[in-house]
Amino acid sequence: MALEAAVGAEGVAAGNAGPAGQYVTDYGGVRLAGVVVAAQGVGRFSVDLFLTAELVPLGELGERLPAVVGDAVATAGLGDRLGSVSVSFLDVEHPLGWPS
Amino acid sequence: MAFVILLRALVRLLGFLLLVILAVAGLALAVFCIQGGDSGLSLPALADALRLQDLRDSVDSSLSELEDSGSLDILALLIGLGLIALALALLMGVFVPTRERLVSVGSGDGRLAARRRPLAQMARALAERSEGVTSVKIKVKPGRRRGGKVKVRADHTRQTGAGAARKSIEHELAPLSESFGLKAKVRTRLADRGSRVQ
Repeated sequence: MALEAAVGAEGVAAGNAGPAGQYVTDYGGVRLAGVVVAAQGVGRFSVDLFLTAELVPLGELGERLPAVVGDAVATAGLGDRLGSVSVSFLDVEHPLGWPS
Repeated sequence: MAFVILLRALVRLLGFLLLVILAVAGLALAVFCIQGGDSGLSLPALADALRLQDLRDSVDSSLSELEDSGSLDILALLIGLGLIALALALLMGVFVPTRERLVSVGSGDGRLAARRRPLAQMARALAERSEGVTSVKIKVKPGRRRGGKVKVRADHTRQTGAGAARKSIEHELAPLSESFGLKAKVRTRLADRGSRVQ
Protein backbone atom coordinates (compact mmCIF):
# COMPACT_ATOMS: atom_id res chain seq x y z
CA MET A 1 0.00 0.00 0.00
CA ALA A 2 2.80 2.39 1.00
CA LEU A 3 4.82 1.47 -2.07
CA GLU A 4 1.80 1.80 -4.34
CA ALA A 5 1.06 5.25 -2.95
CA ALA A 6 4.68 6.36 -3.30
CA VAL A 7 5.10 5.03 -6.84
CA GLY A 8 1.82 6.68 -7.81
CA ALA A 9 3.08 10.06 -6.63
CA GLU A 10 4.24 12.55 -9.22
CA GLY A 11 8.02 12.47 -9.61
CA VAL A 12 8.51 8.85 -8.59
CA ALA A 13 9.47 6.45 -11.39
CA ALA A 14 9.52 3.10 -9.54
CA GLY A 15 10.52 1.19 -6.45
CA ASN A 16 14.19 0.20 -6.40
CA ALA A 17 15.39 -3.07 -4.84
CA GLY A 18 18.95 -1.71 -4.42
CA PRO A 19 22.24 -2.77 -5.99
CA ALA A 20 22.17 -6.22 -4.31
CA GLY A 21 18.39 -6.60 -4.30
CA GLN A 22 18.31 -6.16 -0.54
CA TYR A 23 15.43 -3.69 -0.27
CA VAL A 24 12.48 -6.01 -0.87
CA THR A 25 9.51 -7.32 1.06
CA ASP A 26 7.74 -10.59 0.30
CA TYR A 27 4.03 -10.09 0.80
CA GLY A 28 1.55 -12.84 0.00
CA GLY A 29 3.98 -14.46 -2.44
CA VAL A 30 4.61 -11.17 -4.23
CA ARG A 31 8.06 -9.59 -4.18
CA LEU A 32 7.73 -5.86 -3.53
CA ALA A 33 10.88 -4.10 -4.70
CA GLY A 34 11.74 -0.88 -2.91
CA VAL A 35 9.96 -1.19 0.42
CA VAL A 36 11.06 -2.57 3.79
CA VAL A 37 8.56 -2.67 6.65
CA ALA A 38 9.70 -3.38 10.20
CA ALA A 39 8.00 -3.55 13.59
CA GLN A 40 8.73 -0.41 15.56
CA GLY A 41 7.09 -1.33 18.85
CA VAL A 42 3.75 -0.34 20.42
CA GLY A 43 1.89 -1.81 17.44
CA ARG A 44 3.47 0.48 14.87
CA PHE A 45 5.48 -0.34 11.77
CA SER A 46 8.17 1.73 10.13
CA VAL A 47 8.19 1.99 6.36
CA ASP A 48 11.44 2.51 4.46
CA LEU A 49 10.98 3.36 0.80
CA PHE A 50 13.78 2.98 -1.76
CA LEU A 51 12.91 4.69 -4.99
CA THR A 52 13.98 5.68 -8.45
CA ALA A 53 12.90 9.28 -9.01
CA GLU A 54 12.21 11.23 -12.13
CA LEU A 55 14.18 14.36 -12.88
CA VAL A 56 12.45 16.52 -10.25
CA PRO A 57 13.64 18.40 -7.13
CA LEU A 58 14.46 15.50 -4.82
CA GLY A 59 14.23 17.47 -1.58
CA GLU A 60 10.65 18.59 -2.19
CA LEU A 61 9.65 15.13 -3.37
CA GLY A 62 11.23 13.49 -0.33
CA GLU A 63 9.39 15.84 2.00
CA ARG A 64 6.08 15.25 0.21
CA LEU A 65 6.18 11.43 0.12
CA PRO A 66 5.72 10.64 3.86
CA ALA A 67 2.47 12.62 3.77
CA VAL A 68 1.34 10.79 0.61
CA VAL A 69 2.03 7.43 2.26
CA GLY A 70 0.39 8.59 5.50
CA ASP A 71 -2.78 9.61 3.65
CA ALA A 72 -2.98 6.27 1.80
CA VAL A 73 -2.50 4.27 4.99
CA ALA A 74 -5.03 6.40 6.87
CA THR A 75 -7.57 5.96 4.06
CA ALA A 76 -7.16 2.20 4.43
CA GLY A 77 -7.94 2.57 8.15
CA LEU A 78 -4.43 1.70 9.33
CA GLY A 79 -3.24 5.17 10.25
CA ASP A 80 -2.65 4.21 13.88
CA ARG A 81 -0.28 1.39 12.79
CA LEU A 82 2.05 3.60 10.76
CA GLY A 83 5.35 4.53 12.39
CA SER A 84 8.18 6.47 10.79
CA VAL A 85 8.41 6.78 7.01
CA SER A 86 11.88 7.09 5.47
CA VAL A 87 12.57 7.87 1.85
CA SER A 88 15.80 7.00 0.03
CA PHE A 89 16.46 7.87 -3.59
CA LEU A 90 18.69 5.23 -5.14
CA ASP A 91 18.53 6.43 -8.71
CA VAL A 92 17.21 9.21 -10.90
CA GLU A 93 15.85 8.71 -14.39
CA HIS A 94 16.73 11.21 -17.09
CA PRO A 95 14.17 11.42 -19.90
CA LEU A 96 16.97 11.52 -22.48
CA GLY A 97 19.49 9.39 -20.60
CA TRP A 98 22.32 10.85 -18.53
CA PRO A 99 25.28 12.25 -20.47
CA SER A 100 28.45 10.35 -19.64
CA MET B 1 28.03 -5.49 -3.22
CA ALA B 2 26.67 -9.06 -3.50
CA PHE B 3 30.28 -10.31 -3.57
CA VAL B 4 31.02 -8.52 -0.29
CA ILE B 5 27.87 -10.00 1.29
CA LEU B 6 29.08 -13.46 0.19
CA LEU B 7 32.56 -12.80 1.62
CA ARG B 8 31.06 -11.64 4.90
CA ALA B 9 29.04 -14.87 5.13
CA LEU B 10 32.22 -16.87 4.42
CA VAL B 11 34.09 -14.96 7.15
CA ARG B 12 31.30 -15.74 9.63
CA LEU B 13 31.27 -19.43 8.68
CA LEU B 14 35.06 -19.73 8.95
CA GLY B 15 35.05 -17.80 12.22
CA PHE B 16 32.42 -20.18 13.64
CA LEU B 17 34.33 -23.28 12.47
CA LEU B 18 37.59 -21.96 13.95
CA LEU B 19 35.87 -21.32 17.29
CA VAL B 20 34.47 -24.88 17.31
CA ILE B 21 37.93 -26.29 16.54
CA LEU B 22 39.46 -24.10 19.26
CA ALA B 23 36.86 -25.25 21.80
CA VAL B 24 37.39 -28.96 20.97
CA ALA B 25 41.19 -28.53 21.09
CA GLY B 26 40.94 -26.73 24.45
CA LEU B 27 38.70 -29.45 25.86
CA ALA B 28 41.06 -32.22 24.67
CA LEU B 29 44.05 -30.37 26.16
CA ALA B 30 42.25 -29.94 29.48
CA VAL B 31 41.24 -33.63 29.62
CA PHE B 32 44.77 -34.82 28.78
CA CYS B 33 46.23 -32.65 31.54
CA ILE B 34 44.46 -34.75 34.22
CA GLN B 35 47.27 -37.29 34.58
CA GLY B 36 51.05 -37.02 34.58
CA GLY B 37 53.58 -39.44 33.09
CA ASP B 38 53.62 -40.77 29.51
CA SER B 39 50.41 -42.80 29.45
CA GLY B 40 46.70 -42.48 30.17
CA LEU B 41 45.31 -38.92 30.14
CA SER B 42 48.68 -37.20 29.81
CA LEU B 43 50.02 -34.69 27.26
CA PRO B 44 52.61 -37.14 25.79
CA ALA B 45 49.75 -39.64 25.26
CA LEU B 46 47.78 -36.91 23.43
CA ALA B 47 50.80 -36.18 21.23
CA ASP B 48 51.06 -39.91 20.46
CA ALA B 49 47.34 -40.15 19.68
CA LEU B 50 47.56 -37.22 17.26
CA ARG B 51 50.79 -38.64 15.74
CA LEU B 52 52.50 -35.27 16.16
CA GLN B 53 55.92 -36.92 15.72
CA ASP B 54 54.93 -38.25 12.28
CA LEU B 55 53.41 -34.89 11.33
CA ARG B 56 56.60 -33.07 12.27
CA ASP B 57 58.71 -35.49 10.23
CA SER B 58 56.41 -35.20 7.24
CA VAL B 59 56.42 -31.36 7.31
CA ASP B 60 60.17 -31.35 7.82
CA SER B 61 60.79 -33.58 4.80
CA SER B 62 58.36 -31.56 2.64
CA LEU B 63 60.09 -28.27 3.48
CA SER B 64 63.52 -29.84 2.89
CA GLU B 65 62.40 -31.07 -0.54
CA LEU B 66 61.08 -27.62 -1.36
CA GLU B 67 64.41 -26.02 -0.37
CA ASP B 68 66.56 -28.58 -2.19
CA SER B 69 64.60 -28.66 -5.46
CA GLY B 70 66.42 -25.50 -6.65
CA SER B 71 64.06 -24.63 -9.48
CA LEU B 72 60.83 -22.75 -8.89
CA ASP B 73 58.08 -25.00 -7.54
CA ILE B 74 55.07 -23.79 -9.47
CA LEU B 75 52.56 -25.71 -7.37
CA ALA B 76 53.87 -24.31 -4.08
CA LEU B 77 53.94 -20.81 -5.59
CA LEU B 78 50.34 -21.10 -6.79
CA ILE B 79 49.17 -22.40 -3.41
CA GLY B 80 50.95 -19.52 -1.67
CA LEU B 81 49.44 -16.92 -4.01
CA GLY B 82 46.02 -18.54 -3.62
CA LEU B 83 46.26 -18.33 0.15
CA ILE B 84 47.27 -14.66 -0.04
CA ALA B 85 44.28 -13.97 -2.31
CA LEU B 86 41.95 -15.83 0.08
CA ALA B 87 43.30 -13.89 3.06
CA LEU B 88 42.80 -10.57 1.23
CA ALA B 89 39.25 -11.58 0.23
CA LEU B 90 38.44 -12.50 3.85
CA LEU B 91 39.86 -9.16 5.04
CA MET B 92 37.58 -7.48 2.48
CA GLY B 93 34.65 -9.39 3.94
CA VAL B 94 35.53 -8.04 7.39
CA PHE B 95 36.25 -4.41 6.56
CA VAL B 96 34.27 -3.45 3.44
CA PRO B 97 30.79 -2.32 4.49
CA THR B 98 27.90 -4.24 2.92
CA ARG B 99 25.69 -1.20 2.87
CA GLU B 100 26.54 1.78 0.76
CA ARG B 101 26.70 4.99 2.76
CA LEU B 102 23.88 7.29 1.78
CA VAL B 103 23.65 11.05 2.09
CA SER B 104 20.90 11.43 4.65
CA VAL B 105 19.11 14.06 6.68
CA GLY B 106 16.60 13.77 9.48
CA SER B 107 16.08 11.05 12.05
CA GLY B 108 13.43 9.74 14.41
CA ASP B 109 10.10 10.11 12.62
CA GLY B 110 11.58 9.78 9.17
CA ARG B 111 14.67 10.12 7.12
CA LEU B 112 15.38 11.49 3.68
CA ALA B 113 18.35 9.90 1.96
CA ALA B 114 19.91 9.43 -1.44
CA ARG B 115 22.76 7.55 -3.04
CA ARG B 116 25.75 9.52 -4.24
CA ARG B 117 25.12 8.84 -7.92
CA PRO B 118 21.63 10.35 -8.28
CA LEU B 119 22.70 13.32 -6.18
CA ALA B 120 25.75 13.86 -8.38
CA GLN B 121 23.59 13.54 -11.51
CA MET B 122 21.09 16.06 -10.18
CA ALA B 123 23.86 18.41 -9.04
CA ARG B 124 25.45 18.21 -12.48
CA ALA B 125 22.14 18.92 -14.21
CA LEU B 126 21.63 21.96 -11.95
CA ALA B 127 25.19 23.26 -12.20
CA GLU B 128 25.18 23.04 -15.99
CA ARG B 129 22.30 25.52 -16.02
CA SER B 130 24.62 28.15 -14.52
CA GLU B 131 25.48 31.10 -16.71
CA GLY B 132 28.81 30.93 -18.52
CA VAL B 133 29.68 27.39 -17.41
CA THR B 134 30.98 25.08 -20.16
CA SER B 135 31.54 21.82 -18.28
CA VAL B 136 31.05 20.47 -14.77
CA LYS B 137 32.46 17.58 -12.76
CA ILE B 138 30.74 16.59 -9.53
CA LYS B 139 31.74 14.46 -6.57
CA VAL B 140 29.39 13.78 -3.67
CA LYS B 141 30.76 12.52 -0.37
CA PRO B 142 28.37 11.45 2.41
CA GLY B 143 29.03 12.81 5.89
CA ARG B 144 29.64 10.44 8.80
CA ARG B 145 26.24 11.03 10.39
CA ARG B 146 24.22 13.36 8.18
CA GLY B 147 24.54 15.53 5.12
CA GLY B 148 27.78 15.56 3.23
CA LYS B 149 29.86 17.49 0.73
CA VAL B 150 29.38 18.18 -2.93
CA LYS B 151 32.58 19.10 -4.74
CA VAL B 152 32.12 20.90 -8.03
CA ARG B 153 34.83 21.53 -10.56
CA ALA B 154 33.59 23.78 -13.34
CA ASP B 155 35.02 25.42 -16.45
CA HIS B 156 33.76 28.93 -17.21
CA THR B 157 33.91 31.16 -20.26
CA ARG B 158 36.22 34.18 -20.51
CA GLN B 159 33.18 36.50 -20.45
CA THR B 160 32.04 35.10 -17.10
CA GLY B 161 34.42 35.71 -14.22
CA ALA B 162 35.42 32.93 -11.82
CA GLY B 163 33.55 34.55 -8.92
CA ALA B 164 30.38 35.03 -10.93
CA ALA B 165 30.49 31.43 -12.16
CA ARG B 166 31.00 30.13 -8.61
CA LYS B 167 28.10 32.21 -7.27
CA SER B 168 25.86 31.12 -10.10
CA ILE B 169 26.65 27.43 -9.49
CA GLU B 170 26.11 27.79 -5.73
CA HIS B 171 22.79 29.49 -6.43
CA GLU B 172 21.66 26.70 -8.77
CA LEU B 173 22.74 23.99 -6.32
CA ALA B 174 21.07 25.63 -3.32
CA PRO B 175 17.75 23.71 -3.45
CA LEU B 176 19.54 20.35 -3.59
CA SER B 177 22.28 21.15 -1.08
CA GLU B 178 19.81 22.63 1.42
CA SER B 179 17.46 19.63 1.16
CA PHE B 180 20.21 17.07 1.76
CA GLY B 181 22.48 19.07 4.06
CA LEU B 182 25.23 19.18 1.47
CA LYS B 183 28.06 21.67 1.78
CA ALA B 184 28.99 22.86 -1.69
CA LYS B 185 32.63 23.46 -2.55
CA VAL B 186 32.99 24.98 -6.00
CA ARG B 187 36.27 25.30 -7.87
CA THR B 188 36.34 27.04 -11.20
CA ARG B 189 38.86 27.44 -13.98
CA LEU B 190 38.93 29.13 -17.35
CA ALA B 191 37.66 26.83 -20.09
CA ASP B 192 39.91 25.82 -22.98
CA ARG B 193 39.52 27.70 -26.24
CA GLY B 194 36.64 26.36 -28.27
CA SER B 195 34.61 25.19 -25.26
CA ARG B 196 30.98 26.16 -25.47
CA VAL B 197 28.21 26.66 -22.97
CA GLN B 198 25.99 23.56 -23.00
